[in-house]
Amino acid sequence: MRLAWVIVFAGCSGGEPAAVDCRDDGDCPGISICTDTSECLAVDCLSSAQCGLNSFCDTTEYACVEGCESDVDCLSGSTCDTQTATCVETECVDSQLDCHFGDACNQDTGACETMTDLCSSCAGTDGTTCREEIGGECRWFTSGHYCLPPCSPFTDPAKHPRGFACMDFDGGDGEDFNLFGDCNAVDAYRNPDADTE
Amino acid sequence: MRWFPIPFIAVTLIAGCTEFNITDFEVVDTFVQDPTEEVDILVVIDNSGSMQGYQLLLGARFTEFISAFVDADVDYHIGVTTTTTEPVGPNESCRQEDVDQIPMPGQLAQNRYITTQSEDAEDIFAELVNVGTCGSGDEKGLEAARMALSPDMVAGPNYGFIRPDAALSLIFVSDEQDGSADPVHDYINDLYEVKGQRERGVVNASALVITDIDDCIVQPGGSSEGTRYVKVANEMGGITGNLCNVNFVEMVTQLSLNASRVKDTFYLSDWPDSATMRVFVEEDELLCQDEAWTYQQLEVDGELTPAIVFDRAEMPRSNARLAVRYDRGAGDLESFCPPVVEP
Repeated sequence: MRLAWVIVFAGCSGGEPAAVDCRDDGDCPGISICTDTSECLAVDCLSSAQCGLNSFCDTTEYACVEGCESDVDCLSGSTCDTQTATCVETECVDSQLDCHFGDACNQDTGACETMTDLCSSCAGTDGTTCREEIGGECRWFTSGHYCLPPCSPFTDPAKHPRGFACMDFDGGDGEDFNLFGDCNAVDAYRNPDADTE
Repeated sequence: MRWFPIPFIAVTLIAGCTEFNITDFEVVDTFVQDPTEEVDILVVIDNSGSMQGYQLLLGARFTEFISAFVDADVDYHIGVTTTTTEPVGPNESCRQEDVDQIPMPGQLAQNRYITTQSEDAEDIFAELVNVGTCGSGDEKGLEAARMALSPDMVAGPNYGFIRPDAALSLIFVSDEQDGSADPVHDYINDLYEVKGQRERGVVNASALVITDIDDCIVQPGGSSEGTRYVKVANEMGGITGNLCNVNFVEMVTQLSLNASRVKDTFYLSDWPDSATMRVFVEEDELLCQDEAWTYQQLEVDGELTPAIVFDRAEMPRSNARLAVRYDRGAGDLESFCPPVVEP
């Protein structure tokens, strides 16, 4: 926070004080400051809240300048590199917040990744095994049968694909858990031009 | 929400000169009550099967909802849309005529909005908020907001609702997680873009959602925590409330304050000698002895922070410049507001 100390030597000789617009910033209207000559001066900004995103208030000049001095100056999904005063894209932390529907956050790389095993189409009836190599479970959704991969209930939900939860929907025996979510939505997102039944 | 003082100028007076005091105080914290004269408010309400009770509770609180706008003379538009972003059909619980009441995706409920001049606004608000429970069970509040505020909708079916110079507030009300397809940060940036990102405070968003399902008064079936809405509110200068365990009067009053941008609380830059504190709004001094404001120690991010809090009837109006002058001190509450000594 800028702290300007103004030392005033004035008015000790008696008589009327010199006319002043302001004693301090508190006397000035709107977005303006009190100058050393006790005049109110309109400025672009007094704080970064008065600037757009990807910019901040340079309080030496009281002007909005491009860049950042803290994370709140940046667009969502990016943070401020204070060394360079520029906004940089952040890595994902939680699939449910940071990734597209059906994608999962790889917390090691910080990138959202498409899970190709998720919601692949399968032929069969509800509950039959699909994709033997992964041991998925085939389930009917309104636009077809989709294969739901197995999962561990002990996995951090932030790592599950966006919109999916690890559930035991085979009677709750606590043995067979699968990633359950809206495969119609995943399919629609991945194949926006495809016709659905 | 935390409001810090703008950089201040501390003025030191050379002692021995009494005829021309620049100031007698060590610290001057100055603030501007946000220059918001117009606010457009989009309420995005979940219209899935479990929401009827919450819609009724909110719909009955119009007086509180506009209280801050009335107090500060802020011109408002209030529109409502739902979390249903795709057409739905009738089912065993919902007849065709019920489904027909659901606004088209992205459109305002009943194709209307409330203004400061609306007659019977209280009744209209209750009607608009009661969006029914026949909407999609795949609630997509963020997508719905983006659709409603898209250029095509703003210039088309929702024409007139969004004013170029007005601030924009969004309020999400849902008992389930947002099911919109994109990452939350995409929606946040798109919502800021509605106003061209000209000033970050121009757009804000709040969330009345389930924030802690274990804290619900009654465990709600089929509900889930709305962490995506909470992230939006946290990043967009809004407030959050736990839908399933909230005092609606208090919550709606806070929503009103937040949406109107009218602040009643201002955080100080330093601990004051509380006996020396004086508060000026523009030219006028407001006296603590008149109970126009109080000095408080409020918890912010886990730390006590000195603040002044205005009485609702005394809150500075839009654009008003506020100055808090004081000497530094221990910040004790006991010394605050000593009796006025008659000369």
